[in-house]
Amino acid sequence: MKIKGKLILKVEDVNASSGSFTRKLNSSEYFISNNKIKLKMSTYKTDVLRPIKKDKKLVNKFITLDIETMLIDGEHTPYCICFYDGVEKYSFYLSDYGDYNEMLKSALESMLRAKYSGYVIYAHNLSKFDGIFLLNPLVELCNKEQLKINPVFREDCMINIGVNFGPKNKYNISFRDSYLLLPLSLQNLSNQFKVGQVKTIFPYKFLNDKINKNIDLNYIGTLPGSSYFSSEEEYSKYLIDYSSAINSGKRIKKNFLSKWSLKNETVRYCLNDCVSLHEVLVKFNEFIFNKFKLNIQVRPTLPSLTFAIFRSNYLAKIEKQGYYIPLINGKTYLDIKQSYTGGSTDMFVPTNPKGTKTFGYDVNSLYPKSMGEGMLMPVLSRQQKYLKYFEGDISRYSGERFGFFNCEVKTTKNLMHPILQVRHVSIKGAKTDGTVKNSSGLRTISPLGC
Amino acid sequence: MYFSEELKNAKKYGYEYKIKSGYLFDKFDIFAEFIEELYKIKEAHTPADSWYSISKLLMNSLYGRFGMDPNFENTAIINDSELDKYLETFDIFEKKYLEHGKLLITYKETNSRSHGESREKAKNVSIPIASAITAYARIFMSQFKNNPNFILYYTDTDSIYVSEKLDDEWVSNKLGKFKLENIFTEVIFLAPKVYGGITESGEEIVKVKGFKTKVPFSELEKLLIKDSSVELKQEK
Repeated sequence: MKIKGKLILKVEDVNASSGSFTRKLNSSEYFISNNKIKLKMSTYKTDVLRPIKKDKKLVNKFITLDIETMLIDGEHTPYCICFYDGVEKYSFYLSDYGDYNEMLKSALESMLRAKYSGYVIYAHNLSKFDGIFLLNPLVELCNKEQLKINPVFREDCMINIGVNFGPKNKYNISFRDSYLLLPLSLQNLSNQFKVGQVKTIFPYKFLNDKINKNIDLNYIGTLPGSSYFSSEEEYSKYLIDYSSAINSGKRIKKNFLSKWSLKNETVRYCLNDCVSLHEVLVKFNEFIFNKFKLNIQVRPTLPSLTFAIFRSNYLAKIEKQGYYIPLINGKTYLDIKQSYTGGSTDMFVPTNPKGTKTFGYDVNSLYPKSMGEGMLMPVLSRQQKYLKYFEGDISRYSGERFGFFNCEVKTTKNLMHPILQVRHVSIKGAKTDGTVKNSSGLRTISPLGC
Repeated sequence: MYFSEELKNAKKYGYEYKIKSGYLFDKFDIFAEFIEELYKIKEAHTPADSWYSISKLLMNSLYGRFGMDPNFENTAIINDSELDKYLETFDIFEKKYLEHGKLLITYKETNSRSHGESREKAKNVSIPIASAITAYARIFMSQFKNNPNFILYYTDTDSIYVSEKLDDEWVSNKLGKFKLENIFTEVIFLAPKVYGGITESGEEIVKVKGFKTKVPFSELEKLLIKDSSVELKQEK
């Protein structure tokens, strides 16, 4: 069909035989039989995931930060903040300031320096806990100086707080949670990375106003008794640690047990954690750089790091072989999302008969196994450049049927344990005749014939 | 909507289905080399070594990244008075009140309901990949769900509790093989993520979802009786 000499519609019929034919119209194909459309197939273009470049140089521009809190009226209140830039150690203590916001502001101002531009400031578990403490003083500093704050939060988790500062905002630093990159406790990390030990034992109850009514932040006196520790055992361990720290290299100090300083000890602990975390991050960054030529600096979370590793080290080879990963959004995303459910957890038999044994097995790396060799992923290719969407009788289509299908499922009565899950909003979706209609929702059920 | 390979697998077990509509793709094992290299690293180190955890974490974190919502959440610090303006245009998920009349919000635009190109640049996500991976994991586990050789008491995403020892061909330290974690003389499975047992050596292992404090096995036993209840307390 042409209008003013311009082609606006091209209709092509092929395979015409005894009432069945395929009609091609723009990007859609219609399989027509006995004057009825049996199958409609449309193709549409998507962008594909592209490889990224590897990094050339290793960059270890880290600051590590830790905030110690006390419990006042059941609420965590910061009373000490320390940071370490790999060379210098800094500490800020509440009794030197009017309130904790002043203390935090002072610490932040020491970090907003030209020499730290491009640095990433990590705190372990910042997102769940300390992140929000930092926002208020940053917003306050924002009013005073010309700062620009770019926070990124996801599902209540602080991913990144970017701050631009200095003349024309030309400098920048970012606050991150190292736990999102290495989701293990700092103690575990320091063990595995074989760096200086983190300190976990401290008389924390000494900083809980329900137990110690009048917390004196400048307390210097007898070492808090075992009741301020979580156990007698922890108290003994602390005693050994404290004695060796205070008497290190010198002869034993006189009366050191009665000259215990809350401030000195808090700062010692807080800085110790900063140094441990710094060593862990430097080692981790070197590992990743040596193996994959990537810096951790620009990847705030573990999924974003592993995604970058895939794109920089493997994706180009896959493209060379003629395969492409389509970027899926909009309606296609919402449709295919319905098929995206997790593993199934089910209880089938509540207990074992007396005198029998039960064997508990775990699969080694089930998800990696499900991604590895021979696990065929839905992709595009030189042969199939476009995504295809169909409605109707797919048996009319001669190509391979690999993808995601909407269907009516009939469950079987002869199965002990169901294996197909559906997302559902309520059980109402399951009909008594055993058919299940797809619906979207959060829970999954695995119905069986009834 | 289902992944085609999961439907084919279900057919083997007697399910029937009629396809109405869907999406067609080509196929390729794009992660084979990525997994092979990282699994080699994991195998070469002991669990006490950092490389062991790193390789494990890197392998397990990739599929979720593909499955992210392309409609990312945005974050902004706004003035209290601007909130109404944002509420008109966006879905607001979280808001936190800061000082000086400021507000931290996370918000999203609503997903478009039409096929094809969107006006914005496509985000780097591909949910078919994530969905296929979790489906392959379920297909693998389905082999142990209706097996006449043993009674299946309980299954979790990647574990099974069965009445017999598995054949040697299934058990090794290789990728995708089973590891025998425990042999129990007594077990109780009450609900998903609520179970426990006593091992041959007399050790009690009890898991209660959302509960960190140790729960005695005897508490689970009480719950096998109809209409019984047990109250558990946990210090936060």
